[in-house]
Amino acid sequence: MGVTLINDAIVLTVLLPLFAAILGLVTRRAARLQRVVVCGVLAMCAASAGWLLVQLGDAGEFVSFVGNWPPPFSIVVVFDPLSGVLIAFASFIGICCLVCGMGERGDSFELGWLAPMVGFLIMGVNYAFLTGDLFNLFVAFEIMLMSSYALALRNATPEGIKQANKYGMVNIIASAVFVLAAGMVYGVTGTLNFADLAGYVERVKEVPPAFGAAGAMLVFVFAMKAALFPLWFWLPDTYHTMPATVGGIFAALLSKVGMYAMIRVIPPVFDDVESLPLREILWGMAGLSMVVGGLCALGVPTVRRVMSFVLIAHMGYALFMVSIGTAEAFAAAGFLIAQEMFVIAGLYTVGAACVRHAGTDDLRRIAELHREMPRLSWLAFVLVVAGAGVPPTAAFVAKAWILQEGVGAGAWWLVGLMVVSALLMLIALVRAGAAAFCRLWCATPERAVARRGSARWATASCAMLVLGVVLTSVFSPVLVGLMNRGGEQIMRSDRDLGSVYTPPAAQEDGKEHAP
Amino acid sequence: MIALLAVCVCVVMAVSVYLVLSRELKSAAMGVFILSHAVNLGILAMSGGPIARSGEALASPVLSEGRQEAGASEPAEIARTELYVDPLPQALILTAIVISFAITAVVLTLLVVTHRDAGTLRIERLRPSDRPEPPGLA
Repeated sequence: MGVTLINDAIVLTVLLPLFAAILGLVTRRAARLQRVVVCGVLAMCAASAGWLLVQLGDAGEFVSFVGNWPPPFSIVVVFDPLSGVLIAFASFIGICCLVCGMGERGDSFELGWLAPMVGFLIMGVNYAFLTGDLFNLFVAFEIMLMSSYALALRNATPEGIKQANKYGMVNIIASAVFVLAAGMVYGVTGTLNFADLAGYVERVKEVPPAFGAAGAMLVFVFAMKAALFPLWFWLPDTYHTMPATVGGIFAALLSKVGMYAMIRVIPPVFDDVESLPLREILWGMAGLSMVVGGLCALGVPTVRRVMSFVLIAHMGYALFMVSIGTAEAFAAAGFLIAQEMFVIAGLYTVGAACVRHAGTDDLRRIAELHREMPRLSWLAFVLVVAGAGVPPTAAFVAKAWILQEGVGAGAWWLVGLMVVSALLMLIALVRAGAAAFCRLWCATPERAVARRGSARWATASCAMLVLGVVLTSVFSPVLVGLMNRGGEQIMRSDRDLGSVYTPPAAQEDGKEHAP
Repeated sequence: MIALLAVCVCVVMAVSVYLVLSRELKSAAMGVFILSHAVNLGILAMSGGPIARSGEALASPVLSEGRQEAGASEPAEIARTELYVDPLPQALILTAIVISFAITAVVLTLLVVTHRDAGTLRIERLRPSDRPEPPGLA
């Protein structure tokens, strides 16, 4: 068990993307300068997260009390190995998205908004990973969603604008439910801090039913964000009609934030609430997400739609681990979502490259892209292997780890469903890859559709993401170690309140606080 | 007071659900705006009497004497603080209101853009073009 240390540098991981966004706004008229500046600042953000992870060493977590207020009043931000890894990866994916955006064609006014909005999006995502209380999690979600609405509408096709309505509506309703749930939690417990909430069920003898209701509402909200089974309907319609550039970053980050919130909040706080049959709900959602994701991925005709369902199935695997609710299971879920960020962003970027090159990513209208884009096809091969979880990749480690934890917990039928779903996804991914890059259905590939930009930058972005996949695979032992410590941290703040609430040792103005 | 607020929340929430379920995006958007008001009223109602962990009614957590060790204050002040209402839910509501302002702006822009592009705000005309038309919708 690591110790809790105070380190105010952790807010850098939120401030740097904000600076990136502001600099992006200022340099909006100089397209190249803007991209370079924003990418540079985001790279600094990823580097600072990595540096903090190194600084963390054997300690459990860094906390910062915002404004240096003493613990019960201050807003707490917490940086543990799990959130650190996710922050570093998210910032890297922001850079990949900007690289992909360089090949985009369209109105130069609209193109100039990509970099600032990606900056704000990364800020919201990083803040969601870092925050230590429920209401700030809501605020982080809103920062993230607001920039995602802008990204979904920027340079969108008419079809994309239609679908953006669905995306907006669904997320706004989920946000309203989130605020209400946060208010209810505060009304019942008098606190919103995760660590403080985690001990609530143990502290009180009788949990009011409102607490269970608030828990159910939070499950609803996070399941909506993570696109889990009954609430996944909006994702396949919206993500594949969005501008090709941003599909990857949406798929890679937004659903992961929902799943991260699920890991952080749901089992630690609401596990033992009698009025809420949490285990059964999570099991059902996880099993159905896996199977529905796998089956639908087999049946849909466009590259990015296939990837939407692959994403939903992956979220099901992560939720399976959340429902088990041990430190090792959280670690496995964290490992899955961390390595899957690169895979899913890469697969979406392959779809974006197809759109840029051939005008469509409909598998019935493209074929033999291998001849025209050999480099992209090799990158896609690596990503398909990684997405299907074939042995040398980190995805295999993740799946094996999940299966091991599942068997350990005795959840045999979910383990069985997961194996079936993984098989279905392997078939679906190979089928999509074969149809696009070899010849499966389409006899005469269509070239009538106007090209929408150069595929070169999308391929470059894809190469960066493949590099991410390779690095996570090579360094998966390191990552597994970090995740194990992250999982322990979640379970620790779960039982040990003092960890986050250590008062600041000495304030800068020299005021002493009673010990 | 709480009962009155609860009735208000119920009514406003029912209206907003009715509007959100309509087949016209403008009404659905109105429903979403009203939903945010219902939620804010709900938080206000919940903050009426925070139940302490031990079961007794709590005064404001920021100013009550239970937290004296954190910020030292005069005894006279402590007596006065019992009159304060808990400020935290109000801070939550203010934040939520500001955010819902921004959301309102975004949604209205979205409606304008959608209408400009698609020429309609009827939901059945906005379905994905790669989906077959559902039966019974002329």
